[in-house]
Amino acid sequence: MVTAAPIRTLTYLQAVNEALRVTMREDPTIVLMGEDVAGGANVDHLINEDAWGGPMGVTKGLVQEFGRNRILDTPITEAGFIGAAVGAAATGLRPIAELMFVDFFGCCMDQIFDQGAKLRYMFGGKARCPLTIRTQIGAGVNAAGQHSGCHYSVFTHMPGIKTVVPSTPADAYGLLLSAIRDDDLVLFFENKVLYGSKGEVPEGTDGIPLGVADIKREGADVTIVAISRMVQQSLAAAELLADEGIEVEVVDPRTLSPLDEETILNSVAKTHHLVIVDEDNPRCGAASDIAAMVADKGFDTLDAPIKLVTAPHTPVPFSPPLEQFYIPSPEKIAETVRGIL
Amino acid sequence: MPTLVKMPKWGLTMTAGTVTGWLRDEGAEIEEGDPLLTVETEKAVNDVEAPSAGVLLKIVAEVGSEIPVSGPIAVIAAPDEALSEEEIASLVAAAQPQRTGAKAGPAGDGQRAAREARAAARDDSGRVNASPAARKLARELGIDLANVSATGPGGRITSEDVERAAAEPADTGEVREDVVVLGDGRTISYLVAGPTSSTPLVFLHGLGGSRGTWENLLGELVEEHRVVALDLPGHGLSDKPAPAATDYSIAGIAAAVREVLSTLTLAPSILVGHSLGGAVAIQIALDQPDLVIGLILVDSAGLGEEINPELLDLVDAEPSSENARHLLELFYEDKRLVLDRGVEEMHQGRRRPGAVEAERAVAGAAFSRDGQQTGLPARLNELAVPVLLISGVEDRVIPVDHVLAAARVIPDTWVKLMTGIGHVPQVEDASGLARTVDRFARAISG
Repeated sequence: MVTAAPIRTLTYLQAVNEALRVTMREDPTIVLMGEDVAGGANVDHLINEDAWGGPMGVTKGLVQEFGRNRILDTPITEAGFIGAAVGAAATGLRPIAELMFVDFFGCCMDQIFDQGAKLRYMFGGKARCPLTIRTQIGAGVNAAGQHSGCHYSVFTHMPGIKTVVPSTPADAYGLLLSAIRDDDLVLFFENKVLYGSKGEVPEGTDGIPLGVADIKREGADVTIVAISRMVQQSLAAAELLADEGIEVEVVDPRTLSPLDEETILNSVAKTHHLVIVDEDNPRCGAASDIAAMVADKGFDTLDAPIKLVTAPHTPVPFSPPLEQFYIPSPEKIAETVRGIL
Repeated sequence: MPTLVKMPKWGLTMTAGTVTGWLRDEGAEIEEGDPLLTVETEKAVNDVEAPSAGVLLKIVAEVGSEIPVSGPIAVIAAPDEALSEEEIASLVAAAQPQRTGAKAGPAGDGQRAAREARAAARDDSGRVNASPAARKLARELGIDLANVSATGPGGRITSEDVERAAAEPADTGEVREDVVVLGDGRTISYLVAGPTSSTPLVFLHGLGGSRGTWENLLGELVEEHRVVALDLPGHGLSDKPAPAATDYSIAGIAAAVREVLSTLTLAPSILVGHSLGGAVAIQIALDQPDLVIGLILVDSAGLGEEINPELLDLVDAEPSSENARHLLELFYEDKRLVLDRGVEEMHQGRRRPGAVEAERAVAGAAFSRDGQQTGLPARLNELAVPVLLISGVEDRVIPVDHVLAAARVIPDTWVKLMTGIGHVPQVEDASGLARTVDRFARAISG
């Protein structure tokens, strides 16, 4: 019997910070490493000061609680500290590494893809890699083409990696608890535009299982599967469409690998219409992957072509108007829905 | 029991009528069938008759008000029946039409705008455009997608469309207007409506007319009968080739109608002919009796010799509004039916390219100043199907006597004479005519 935990209101950023604290308190093998995560570059006199805690302050205060042995500022060398984290995971620790922006993955892809993701497989199950890599995604803060991408599709493509894309503070909290506790390599994508968003988060330390989608809004006419911040954009589109009598169901897969196919297929079986909204680039992306899955397994439930609303096949522009144009907007989503009904 | 008088539905397309005048006052004693008020629609003005005897207790619809079909107009109380204001109000309220939200606009009213159902799109190979879900459902329910109309974008049938088709009784044919292309390339325009299971009633209008003349009558019949109304060659929206290039005789028109009956697989049917259309119907029944199970001849040509030369004068005269007005005045006994709009409609119809030439050719082949030249009266005894003969007693175009004479020679006849009616009962008293047609059609189709 589960009793409902008390609720508090947190920002998405606070929810991540809180999940880090909760897991680090319960498991002394957890260490956090990355550029500026302590915020003091291991300078003695800053330990007890108001250290930075990453560029957005997500890990602020952790070094004071857990000390410099567990909160490790690293050199600006992704290959080095991601490699160290993979090694630590393989040899008994439960590390959390912060890749500041996902756009930097090129610097450490061997460590992620050819080492961490394959350890269990290459050693016939005798090794494991309980590593969580937290990273920031998303356009919308004028951070230009090298700090604004999403790229979770790249990692979803790779076997051996779990990919987590929380859209709310509650999901960020519950999913990060599960990601850290998971015994495999997990990529945890925090959308930097959502850090300030507020939401109710249950107290307690129960994680949200990886691979379970969430229906963020129920509706009978069309299913929108939306990823990360696009859940919020789609909920806004649903409001626009509700005024026109169109009932939108918004499904948030929450994790792309594993993917909760059943929840998506059940929703489409109900509404017969599917729009997938994804801020990532369109080619070989999560959106087309989900579309292909439904076209295959849900073909006979469809009343219209599956429509994708994604970013264009370009890097993220710096120009603020162009950047806004790049991101799928509620208006564009609503227009796409109208087109298939 | 009080009776609520409701706005009648006079035509296939009538949605509302405007009260133009009350013929009786509140408190008046009335008999069933008494004209109570006049109502104008887009097509005509007509009397609404009392559905029961009693006292006109309450006039609900004031002069000038537009009332939707089936909306409340008046309350008739039985003699000696007393009703409170509340009882009257609740009676009236019960008849107020319910608003349905299916056609709500797109903005802000919380109603999903339904796309109009239309014929499903097809690709070049004829494959109908239907969604995967619609195909699966149609398979499961045994629905033929060819019979499902589409609401999806681009004319795609959706699963909802299949569900709707499955829920509809397969038998209610909706109103459809289309053309038949004859073997010689002429197009014949027609309208079809009503349940497909009943014997088709095929309506053939008179000289210079169009299938529009049946509008009110079809509205009365369409719930129970399959109705098909044609524009005869040279008339209405059908092609109007030059007289030298085609055959505008009764026999020529009959051949075209036979081709339509066969193309639309309407045989065997009951032919309903008015005036010249009646002669066409007789011709078909004589030439090819297997196509016909009964004839309904309304103020029909082909039954005798006389025809009012005034009609021929008006056909020969230059088309004008004045001319059209004279025609309608010749046709209708009740001159209130001669509306400016009806006059203009007729005039515009005759101004269509080729219309007057065709009309004169048809008239010239069938009639002359010496009388009708149809050759049909001598053959009426050969008619082997039941024939309903109808005439307005006051018909000034073709004398009512023709009906009486024909009734003596046609082996199996029904006769209906309509008093106070001129040459066009389908306009002058559509309800009365509908009752007679309905009874006959039911009787002979078993």
